[in-house]
Amino acid sequence: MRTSKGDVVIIFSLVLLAVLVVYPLGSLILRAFLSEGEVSLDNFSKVLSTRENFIALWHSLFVSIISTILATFLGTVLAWIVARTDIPFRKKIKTGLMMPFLIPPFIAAIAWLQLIGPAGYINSIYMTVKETWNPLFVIYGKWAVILVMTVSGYPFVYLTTLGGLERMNPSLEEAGQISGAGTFRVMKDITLPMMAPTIGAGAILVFVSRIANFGIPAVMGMPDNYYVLTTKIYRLIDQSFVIPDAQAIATAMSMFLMIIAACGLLFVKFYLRGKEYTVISGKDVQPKLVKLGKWRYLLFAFAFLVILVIVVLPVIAILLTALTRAWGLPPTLDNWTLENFRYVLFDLDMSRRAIRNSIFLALSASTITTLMGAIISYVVVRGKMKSRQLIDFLASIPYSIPGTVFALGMIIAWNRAFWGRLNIYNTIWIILFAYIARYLAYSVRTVGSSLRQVDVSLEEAAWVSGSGWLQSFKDIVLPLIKSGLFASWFLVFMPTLRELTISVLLWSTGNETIGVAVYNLQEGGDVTSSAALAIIMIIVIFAGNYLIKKITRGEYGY
Amino acid sequence: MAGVVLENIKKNFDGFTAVNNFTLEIKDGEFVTLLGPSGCGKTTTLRMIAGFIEPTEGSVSIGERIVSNPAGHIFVPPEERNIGMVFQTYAVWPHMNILDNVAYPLKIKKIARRNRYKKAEQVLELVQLGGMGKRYPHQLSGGQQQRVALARALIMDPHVMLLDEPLSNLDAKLREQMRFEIKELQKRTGVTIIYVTHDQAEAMAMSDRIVVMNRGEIQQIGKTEEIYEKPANKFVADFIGLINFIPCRVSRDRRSLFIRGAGNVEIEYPVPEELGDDVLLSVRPEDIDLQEYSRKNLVGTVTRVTYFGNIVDYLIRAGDVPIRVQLKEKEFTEGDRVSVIFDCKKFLFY
Ligand SMILES: Nc1ncnc2c1ncn2[C@@H]1O[C@H](COP(=O)(O)OP(=O)(O)OP(=O)(O)O)[C@@H](O)[C@H]1O
Ligand SMILES: [Mg+2]
Repeated sequence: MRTSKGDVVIIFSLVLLAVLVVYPLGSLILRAFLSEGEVSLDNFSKVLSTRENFIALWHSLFVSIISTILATFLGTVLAWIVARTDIPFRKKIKTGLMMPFLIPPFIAAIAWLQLIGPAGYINSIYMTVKETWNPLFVIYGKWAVILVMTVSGYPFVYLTTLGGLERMNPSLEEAGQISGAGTFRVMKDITLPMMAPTIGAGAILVFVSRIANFGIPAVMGMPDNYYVLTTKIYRLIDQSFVIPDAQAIATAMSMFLMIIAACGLLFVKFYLRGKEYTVISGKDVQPKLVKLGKWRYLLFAFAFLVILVIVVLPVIAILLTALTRAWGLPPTLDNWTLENFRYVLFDLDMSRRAIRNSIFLALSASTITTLMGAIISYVVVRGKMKSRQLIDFLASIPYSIPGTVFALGMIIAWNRAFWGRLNIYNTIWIILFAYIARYLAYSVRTVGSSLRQVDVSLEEAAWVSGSGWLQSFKDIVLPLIKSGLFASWFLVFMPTLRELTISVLLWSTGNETIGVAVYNLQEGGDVTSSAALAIIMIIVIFAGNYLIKKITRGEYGY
Repeated sequence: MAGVVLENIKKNFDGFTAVNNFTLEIKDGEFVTLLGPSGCGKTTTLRMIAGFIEPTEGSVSIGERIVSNPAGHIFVPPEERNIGMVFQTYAVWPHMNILDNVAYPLKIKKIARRNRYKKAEQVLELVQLGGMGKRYPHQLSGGQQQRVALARALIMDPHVMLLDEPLSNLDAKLREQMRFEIKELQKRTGVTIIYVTHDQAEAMAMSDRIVVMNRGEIQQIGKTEEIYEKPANKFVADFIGLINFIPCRVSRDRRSLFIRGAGNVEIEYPVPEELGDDVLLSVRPEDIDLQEYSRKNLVGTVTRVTYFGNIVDYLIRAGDVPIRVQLKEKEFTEGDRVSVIFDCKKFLFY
């Protein structure tokens, strides 16, 4: 009785994953190796031999590596300051430094462009004050990309390192101190070497997320003709009607992107995770904070400055733009207006559609993934069969590969009619499918971890008392994993609401998302409307983050 | 090597007094144990000696040198105190091999590589880990890791060694063995040891003197026998070993006691004047004998017999008074009526 129902669930899960994951990725890989109807490596050699294509690969590696190094340095230093020193307002600083996670990278890029771009606020203030036509500095192209990638990427390292430092048994450091080593010697000989694998894991996450990022190089690089893999793929797809072979080359490029990202993640999973020292805390020891003395305020000022420059200033810049009548006017009070907000919320059809679409997509994606996640993680956690690992693996793929790659797979897989008329390409459904597949991993993980806490005996008790499998799932399991379901719903809702990388490749007129709308307005030169829409998005994100943090008592959210 | 002097130490943690009024003089080469229930301030005291915690008041001296004295604005950080410390969680560094772990204090002192490894090998020999230097901590058992920690503390020829419940993560057998090894090591090296535990058997097996603490204050300082045979107060009597507390009334002529809960049975015993009329007669289980039922003694019923091998533990109920008795042999069974005979020489009163 029970097994047969379990089998149904497994088959159902496998079919779903086949349609959502295996089919698009299979199509993509097949397409990459197919040239003029034959299996070959032609497409790859076209990437490596055409300068313009090859250079995108090189740029991707360059900006990702440099920004990873910088972000790792910044993240580690900040984590140490927060975890190990007695700076004032430690708790506040700790939260403040996570905030860049909340600002979507492409919005951060737009904000930074308005701050430091050639016509940005800093330069215009300088030029007005000095009465000159020469800007103070010009940062664009790769350095601008690296800058924004660094400041929006360091939280990965910051968070993992902070966690590692907080979990580390303080006796290890004290043993160093009592052996005669001073504060900095302990840091160099004990803390840092022990944290190295953790910092390394964080660094690779930064690298993978940087190389997969579309928004930053799109906003900061493309206008200067500085292309990386993601933006090049976007361009190729955009112009696939003009350039022959564009799609084939894009698929080959996406293979490179996917392989680099996969190598990074596999390295973390199988090498670094094994190297990490499991450092359990002793019972009565809390980490001792380094008494900084006169350095206390200096380091506080540094951390505060980081928050100011990385979170506050960009948001202020974009807010100012949103409040200004026209981009380029000085953002003084008499130029302020709410007109931009009115325009994007009530006048402009495109942005109104985008808001409607994004809300629809986020609502349905989060609800569907949570339901699917509940079923799949139930199979994963409770199942004993081999299929269990397969399901777990398949569900985690779309999240591990760059969004651009997955979106391209979706295009290749669904760019045709099935059974004569069923065609989801150029509809909102293809975006929804992509979102579901991509964020399924979130649900499986969150629901799975709460399911693991429900002892199987509770269910068995229900079966013994005569309730069926479904009945006991509904009566016993669901109520117990309610908070996990809720968290999963929210964790999918938030990023889908702000999503750009996938939808920018899959959208069509009428099916824009908010991310696409912000991006298109910015590209089209309507900077103020774009800023207004971005501010609305930021407000929703921060409110949502606050809500989930309150409701889950700090377990989720920043 | 050096002695340690703690004078009138007090430690407040935002309003909560963890250690108070703590004065203790430890002689050079002495083995002193801080013993007390959980949360009584043992770790806090030890960490004030190490320098991880600064006392609120009082002063700490190691050898001739004052290392902590808030009133005089003196505070020497841990790394300058030349103290060896062994942590409860071993705190052996997982990223270094055993030899590097042990040699680390000498590396800090800038001793040449070859000399420090030679010394480290010797110390490893001393803790019976000779030849294990190339291994990594995760390849050692808990007991071996604990010895590495000991070796690392010993290598710097410390003035003092501090050990905070170093054996509590080991299994019973190993714990027993390590007790003797630590004691042996101390005899051989002559190092001053301050040892923290809440296990009284451990304290008694190793210490020259024991400091019994409760709620942050010293209850008694003394040799093992003193603490056991002449507990300074009810807390110490109760905490160290087993003891029966029997409420009694003193007769007018102060030549006998009446056990209140057991029908005012009379026990002849001259009670000093200063104890008052109501006393708490305290007597250890091994200072009581059980005999065949006889009307002229205190009579009770055996309600529980537990056989431990070397001793037999009886719980007797005499009227309302429960009495623990420990004998060598199993002579009675549950339900037996017995006479309870006290060894009056061992009586204590609180
Ligand atoms: N950093 C601190 N802040 C506040 N209170 C503390 C701090 N450290 C210790 N205490 C308190 O001081 C008291 C003594 O703690 P201590 O760790 O010295 O006890 P202990 O005797 O070592 O106990 P155990 O046998 O459990 O290790 C406890 O009540 C503890 O809660
Ligand atoms: Mg303790």
